[in-house]
Amino acid sequence: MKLRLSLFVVIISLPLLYISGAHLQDGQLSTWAIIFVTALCLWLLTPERNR
Amino acid sequence: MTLLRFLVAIAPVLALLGGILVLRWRAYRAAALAWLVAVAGAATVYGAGPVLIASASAKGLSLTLLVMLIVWSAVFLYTLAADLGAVDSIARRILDSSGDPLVLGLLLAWTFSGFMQGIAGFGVPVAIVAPLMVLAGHSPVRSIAAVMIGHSWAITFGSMGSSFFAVQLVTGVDGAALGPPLALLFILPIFFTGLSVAHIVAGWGGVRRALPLVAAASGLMGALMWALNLLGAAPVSSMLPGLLGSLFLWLVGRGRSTNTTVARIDQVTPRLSFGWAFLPYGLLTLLSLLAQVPAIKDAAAGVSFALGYPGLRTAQGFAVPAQEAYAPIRLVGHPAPLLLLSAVLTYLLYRRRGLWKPGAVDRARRATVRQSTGTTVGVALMVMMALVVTDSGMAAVLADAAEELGGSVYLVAAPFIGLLGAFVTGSNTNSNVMFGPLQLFASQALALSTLTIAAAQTLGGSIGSGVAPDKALIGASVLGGDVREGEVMRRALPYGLLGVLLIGLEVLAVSLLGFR
Repeated sequence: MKLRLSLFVVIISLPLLYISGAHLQDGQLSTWAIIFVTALCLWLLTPERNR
Repeated sequence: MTLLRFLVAIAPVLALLGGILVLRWRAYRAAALAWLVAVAGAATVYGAGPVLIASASAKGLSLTLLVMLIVWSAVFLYTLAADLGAVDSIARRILDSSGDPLVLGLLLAWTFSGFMQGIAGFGVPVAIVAPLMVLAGHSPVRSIAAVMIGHSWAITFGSMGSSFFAVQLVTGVDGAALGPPLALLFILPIFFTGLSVAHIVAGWGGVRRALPLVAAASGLMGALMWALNLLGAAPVSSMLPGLLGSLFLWLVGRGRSTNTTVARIDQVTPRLSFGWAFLPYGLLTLLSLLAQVPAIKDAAAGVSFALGYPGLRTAQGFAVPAQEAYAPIRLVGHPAPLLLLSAVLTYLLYRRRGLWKPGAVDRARRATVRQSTGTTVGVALMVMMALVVTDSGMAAVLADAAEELGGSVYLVAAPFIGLLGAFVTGSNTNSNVMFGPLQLFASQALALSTLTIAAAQTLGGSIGSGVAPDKALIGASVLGGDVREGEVMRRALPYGLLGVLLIGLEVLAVSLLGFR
């Protein structure tokens, strides 16, 4: 389940990072997009419950 | 300051290696840590702003989309073929082909496993072929080790060429220019892996006996790999040479004495004839070759998807050039549409013949999601990390450090870098993405041919992925019992290291002879 949700987050990260960084080149929006991916990474670093 | 910049540049790679090797995390967890470390280093020491970091990470995801579309489609076609009984039918026909344990060992662990790598990858050759080796009378450890080294020649062009696509994208080398010379460089690893299988299966006596057979098969397989790359058919450049080698060994082995172990298991009649079993991959081959016809290529030339990226600069002045269409996904030229069309045609033809199993698509879809989700998350984060390292200027700093080694030493070391990346991540594609930018900058800093270094990277990655611990784990879990991964690794790794040393010397010789 954790992996499937992660995959979903990764998929929606592409438009978020692209629009904020490459397309609009907006520093504030880019920061939020990076925080979004950071949250995913920190979540992946937490141990899984069934371990 | 220089030492700090070097340490920060190497930290993401160390985080990835440490996560996998020391903490024994799964690849996606280690990749998450590596991306965080890369972003922290890029922002604090390298002067990369949020726009540059977001853009570089988006580039990583563009690249992931291109590579993972191949992977998802290839896994889907394979799981569909396996569900329909095609894989089982092909495997049984091979087991029936020869009673000579040496020829059968080469056929299974070297050529058929190469074919399996061509169509599936991700440890599937080990999972499918190692049990067949045991049925053919070899010990479990020997069986797994033989398949691990035996299929490693097929990894770069395997999984429909995903590793080959990855190395092109991260180094900027043109596939049409890289493919043919890379295929020629692969003849030595093909030959070496064949002899390695003979050595594992039958010792030095086996090597002496197999030498002419392996030499002839390697020549045929290498020549076909080269010809396919000249035709632009890289995605089938492991599958078809693996099939040709299997056919050659099958013809050679037909007249040899009967092995009772092999004969006993063949009493079960396969569900499909060989022709029908091979149909999904026969169609794929046909479509791949049709896609190279100039008229078809030209007609579909404009149908593609790609995002454009702007030129950006760090606060310290490191410039990233603009990319008008980064990692384009073409309707004709990308393997995914061909894989899916093969699946549709297989459905129509099997249904017409009454061979279709209801619910096969749904089962294949579920198996594909189960098998590919973790890999996709891991690859996405790893590629994002690699692009942050590249676009922030960290890879350039690492390349400057590599310059200290000197050109000749670096040429021999380059395939070992590929091996290291693949050994740690279990994937030639990941290794190419992780170390491709470093190899690119190093080749520029040392005035070496980027083409040669890109080839060295993926050649080393191919062998490294074959002997990586995850393959030993897959083999041990499939065969079960008392098989220890450590014992398998001790058996397989020396062949991998020797093979990569030979590749390093081959690359050095090619470079000294003036080929660029």
